[in-house]
Amino acid sequence: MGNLLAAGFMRLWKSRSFWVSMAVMAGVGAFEAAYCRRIGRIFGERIELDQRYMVFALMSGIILSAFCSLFVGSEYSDGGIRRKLAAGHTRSALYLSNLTLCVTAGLLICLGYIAAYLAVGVPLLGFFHFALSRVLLSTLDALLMTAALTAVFTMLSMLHQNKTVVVVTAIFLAYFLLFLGIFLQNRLSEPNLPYMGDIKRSMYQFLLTLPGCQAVRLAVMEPEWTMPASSGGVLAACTGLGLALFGRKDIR
Amino acid sequence: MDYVLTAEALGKHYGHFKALDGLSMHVPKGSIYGLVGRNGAGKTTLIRLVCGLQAPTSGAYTLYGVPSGDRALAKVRRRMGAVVETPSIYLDLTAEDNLKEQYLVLGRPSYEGIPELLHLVGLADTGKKKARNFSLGMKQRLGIAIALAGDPDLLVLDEPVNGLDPQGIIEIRELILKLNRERQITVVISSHILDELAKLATHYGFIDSGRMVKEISAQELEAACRKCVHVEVTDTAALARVLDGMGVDYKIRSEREADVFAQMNVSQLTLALAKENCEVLSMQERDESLESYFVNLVGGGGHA
Amino acid sequence: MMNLLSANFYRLRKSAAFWLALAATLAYTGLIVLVCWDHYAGGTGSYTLEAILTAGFGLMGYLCVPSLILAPLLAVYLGAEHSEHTIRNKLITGHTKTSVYLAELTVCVLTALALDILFMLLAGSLCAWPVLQMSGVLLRVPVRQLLAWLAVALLARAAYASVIKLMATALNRKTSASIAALLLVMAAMVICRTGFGMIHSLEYALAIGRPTAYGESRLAFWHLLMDILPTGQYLQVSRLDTPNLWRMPLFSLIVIAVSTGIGLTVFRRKDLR
Repeated sequence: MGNLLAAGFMRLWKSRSFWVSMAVMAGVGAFEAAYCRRIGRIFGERIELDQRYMVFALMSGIILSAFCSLFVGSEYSDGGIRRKLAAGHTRSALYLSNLTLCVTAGLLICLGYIAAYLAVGVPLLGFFHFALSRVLLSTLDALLMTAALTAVFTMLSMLHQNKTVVVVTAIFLAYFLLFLGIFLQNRLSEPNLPYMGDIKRSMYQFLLTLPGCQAVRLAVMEPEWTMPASSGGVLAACTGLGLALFGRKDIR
Repeated sequence: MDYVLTAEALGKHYGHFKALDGLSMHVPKGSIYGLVGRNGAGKTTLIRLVCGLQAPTSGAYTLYGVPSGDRALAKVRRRMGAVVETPSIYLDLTAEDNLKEQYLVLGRPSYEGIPELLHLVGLADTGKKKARNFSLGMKQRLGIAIALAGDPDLLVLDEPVNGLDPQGIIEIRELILKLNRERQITVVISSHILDELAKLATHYGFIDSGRMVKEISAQELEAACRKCVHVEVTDTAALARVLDGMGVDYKIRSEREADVFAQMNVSQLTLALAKENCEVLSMQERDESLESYFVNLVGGGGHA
Repeated sequence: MMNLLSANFYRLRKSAAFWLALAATLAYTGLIVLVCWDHYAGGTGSYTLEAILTAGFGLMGYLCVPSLILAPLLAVYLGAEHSEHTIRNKLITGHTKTSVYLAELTVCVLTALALDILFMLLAGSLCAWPVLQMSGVLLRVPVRQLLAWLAVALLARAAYASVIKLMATALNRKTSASIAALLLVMAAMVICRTGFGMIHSLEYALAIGRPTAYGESRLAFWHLLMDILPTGQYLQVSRLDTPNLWRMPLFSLIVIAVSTGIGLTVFRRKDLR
């Protein structure tokens, strides 16, 4: 697997989709920080650094859905998977190396946003208003959520050879989870809400912990222990399922 | 002579790269015109220009006497069918649906003729199978069927037997010959499989580095291709001395083989060689192949 | 060109992406109808028909679900011609690049409009009764106003389809076109959400007399941007708040003309393989 990772990192380094994703996230990070400052000047208000720091949690799913599908999808279309299997690598090594690469790329892309946001934001807006522990916890939760989402997209990409189908499905899934999170958060925050019922409320709260949905809570830095637990669970489940199904897949 | 397709000083540049450089071509009506050239010689670029996919940088071509750039060319193109590089088929449609789609593009009033066309190319049994699941050979056949959908007078085929098994190659060859003989369809065909082309073509165009090196009919080619005697001996140096003494044209192929371009008295040669302690191992009469004619014409060396 | 149109519609009918988009549209319609009936059953809503019909262009004021459905359909449908090189079959037989481009554009626009009209017909007819029960009236605005909103939104949809067509022509590949189309929707939604937020904040600041740097010109800029972007137009319609309705169709026509002009130029100059 070491060879696969080495080859994979070399391919990642040269991957246009990785650098475009990185540039987009970094660009958005810098823009968000500068924009906060601008808004503050327009309205004569003080905007804190915390305000838009976690926007990467909202965007990472959509950006990574496109990246993972392209990166892993081109393994199929360019015959990379065939070559590696023919060279004697096992299916599980292949799957895990692609997963490792995508998770690493996902984390780097998120860190790209953070680095750009802080580089522009700290001089303009000062440091965090919230306690550093809260910021760090939210950041770690968001990164774990990103890893979980990446595991989902990697699983989709490894199990289906048609790049276009995977891309569309993955992006739609990312959108769906985000919109679901917004909807659930809105419903749970409604004032004077008619009695919802414990079951319905519990279900909404459970769904809100799903990777993608929890981005809405993380965006306002409200981490809970259920979120990393859910992300970890999804990461493990998708990896297990993906390994099992890929092991049996007929490769064309 | 009536020409279906002509090109005069056709040029195509991609940036600084000259894919075609003053190419001229004449395809006689009713012929099977074989385009022969190395990889990167410009065959596919020429086909793309003639099919209207790209505009020439310089020069012009005519199709049924209508020059490129003329509005009337659009109508004349209805008489043409082509398979350029890879078959242009919708992977999510079946063979029949692909043909129906092309019939609609051509404005044909009904789908009559589709079953016969599928049968002609050997895809009658594909049923509801999507083109995505076809083998390479099946895709190739479907591409040809689509090219034939408009009952064309001119068929342009870019490497049509790519990916076909030996049986498939024979079937496509027979199909091309049948279309040419029974329907008088002019066929322009580019291929790397020169032996196969030699069984088909009535005319040849040899392309190299974006230029037409030579155009020649099959009959002229046959006359030009030199007959020779291929000899295998134990000492080609001795053979060379003997042949020089006889004033005969020859070419040494290897340490033990040579081609002699003259009618030889076998006994005389053998005796002369025996005096030089050289044994004759074998002797065969041979014609120069299209392959060797081509190699001699354009020379060995680099290709794309 | 009629031949090209009939061939394109034939292919659309056979396209899995089209049937999936249709199913997604029906699912979205079902969701809207369900929410309406749910509110009626719970006695908690007071929807009117204009809100139901305009939900076909946006949800909650900033979610363009129908645009998301349309984006991959158009991108995959258009992208296939380039990825699979089937454009060759049309050009070889004498169709011009202009007629090929315009035929595809026409099919995209008509398909987009058809899906919108389908939503409006189904949602409108299935929600009419609960709306009448909840609100006592079907409409709180004159019919003319509603028709104007719908016409503007449909023209904006045509503009959106022409932009997707330009993108698919420039990008050449089914996969790239799908990604670009879907990310464009996200970008447009983010811009519009920011825009509506800015408009709300600036209007409030100006109303209470709070000093705001270049407040009026910024407000005018954001209004202009929301009126130019097709997404901005249909989100305004879905919010039933269109302060500059008169100029939106003009901007849509400009977007259609410019994107089609650029697309045709790009396509005519392109060397096809």
